[in-house]
Amino acid sequence: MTCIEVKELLDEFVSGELDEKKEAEVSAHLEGCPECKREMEELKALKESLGAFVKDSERSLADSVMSEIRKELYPVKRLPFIARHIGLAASLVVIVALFAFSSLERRDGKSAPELNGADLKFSTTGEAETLEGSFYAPSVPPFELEEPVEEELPSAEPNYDVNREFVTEDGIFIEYPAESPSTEELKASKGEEYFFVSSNLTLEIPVKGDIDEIKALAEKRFEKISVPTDKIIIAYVKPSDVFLFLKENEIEAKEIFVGDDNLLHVALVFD
Amino acid sequence: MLNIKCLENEALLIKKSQAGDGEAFGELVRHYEKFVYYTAYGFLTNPDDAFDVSQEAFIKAWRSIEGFREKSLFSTWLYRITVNTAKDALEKRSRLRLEMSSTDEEGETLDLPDVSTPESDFIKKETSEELYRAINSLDDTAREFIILRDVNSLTYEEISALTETEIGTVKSRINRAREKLKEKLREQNKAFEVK
Repeated sequence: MTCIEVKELLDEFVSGELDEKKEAEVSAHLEGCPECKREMEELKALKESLGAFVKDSERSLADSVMSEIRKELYPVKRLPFIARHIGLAASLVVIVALFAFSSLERRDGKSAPELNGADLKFSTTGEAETLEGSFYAPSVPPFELEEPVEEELPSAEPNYDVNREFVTEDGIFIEYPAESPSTEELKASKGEEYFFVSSNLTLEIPVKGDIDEIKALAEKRFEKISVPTDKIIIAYVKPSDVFLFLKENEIEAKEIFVGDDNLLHVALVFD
Repeated sequence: MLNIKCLENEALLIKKSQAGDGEAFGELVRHYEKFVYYTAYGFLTNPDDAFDVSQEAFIKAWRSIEGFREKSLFSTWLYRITVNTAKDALEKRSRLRLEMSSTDEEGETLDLPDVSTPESDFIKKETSEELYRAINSLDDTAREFIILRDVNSLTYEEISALTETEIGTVKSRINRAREKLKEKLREQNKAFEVK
C-alpha cells in the first residue's frame, strides 16, 4: 500500500471500521512508515479528544421533552371535580411510599430493567373501580361520593404547588412541600381515607412489607415498583395532570427516584 | 457509538405521532435523544445550552411532525431541525454577549462548560479549552461534519445517509475539517502531534 492509500484509510483504521484484510495491510504499512504512523497517532489523539468532548447533562432530556408535550396534550383539570365524586365502594389503593433519603443517587434518566416488588404483597378490600377515559384526561368523573368532601380543593395550575395537610383517622400526616400562596385542608369523610399523592409529595404511610426492601428497590432505579398498601390514593401528578387512582392489584410506579429535595419520589403508572 | 439506526417500528411510531400520540413520539425521543444532544453540544459546547437546544428541537419536531414526509429519513429530518436550532441559538448567544466566560483572538463569545479540575489535570483542562476554541472557529459545514464523525462517532455511510451527501464528499469534508482543526490547534500552540 502506498502512503496516499493508507492516509485515505487512516480515519477508518483508527475507528476500527476496516475489514481484517485492509486493517492488516494498513498496520503493516504503519510499522515501516514513521510519517504515516505519526499521522495516524495524531489522528487518534484528535479523535479521542473529540470523542470525550461532550459533557453529559445531569437532567433527562426525554423526560423534559415529554413533560412539555404532555402539558400541551393534557391540560389542567380541576381537583374539586374529582374529589367530590369519588366512589368508595371500592377500596383500593395505591400507594406511593415516599421516604426521605439523604444519600441516594439521583435518577440518571436511563431506563432500567423492570422489577416487580418481589415479596411485597398487596391487599385489597372490595371491588375495583376502573378509571374511565384515558390516562391523562379524566374529563368526566366516574364516581359519586356518598358524603361529599367538605373542602373545596384548589385548582391545579401548571407549576402551582398546593400546600396541603391531610390528616386521616389514623393520624397519618401528609405534607405537601410547596411554595404556594394558600394553604388548604382537606378532611376526609367519615370512615374514608384519602391521600393526595403527587410527584413532589412527601407521604408517610404504612406500607405492607419490609421498608428496607423498598429502600433497596428504590436504590436500583428500575422502571416499575409495586408497593403495597390499603389506602385510597388520589394522585395528582404535577404540574397539571390529575387522576383518580383506584386499582385492584399492585400499583406500578413508572419512576422511582430521588428528587431535588432529596425525597424519594414514586410516580405512578396508570393503565 | 451513538445509535441513529431506525427503530424497527419507526414508521408506525411516526404515524401515531402524526395522529397526536405523544407517547409514541416519546419513543422516538428516547431513541434519538443522545444523538440530538451530542449534535447540539457540538455547536453550543456546554451542557445547559445543549440541553435547551435539544429540547427545543424535539418540541419543534413534535409540533411539525404532521409535515414530515417519508421521502427523507426521520433522523435526517430531526438532525436538520437540531442543527438549525443550534445555529440560531449560537447566533442569539453571540448577539447577546452578556457574559464572556472566555474569548479567543477574534473576540468570539464562548460558553465553556464548568471544567473544574485539580492542579494535576491542568494540562488536560487547557487542552479541553483549546479544543473548544478550535471547534468554535470552524465554519458551519466543517463543524457539522466533524461533529458527526468524531463526536457522534457515526460511520461514513451513516453520515452520508443522514446528510444526504455522497460518501466521497463526506470524506473530503471531514478531512478538511480536521485539517482546519489541527491548524487552529497548532496556532493555539497545542500539541496534538506526537514528538
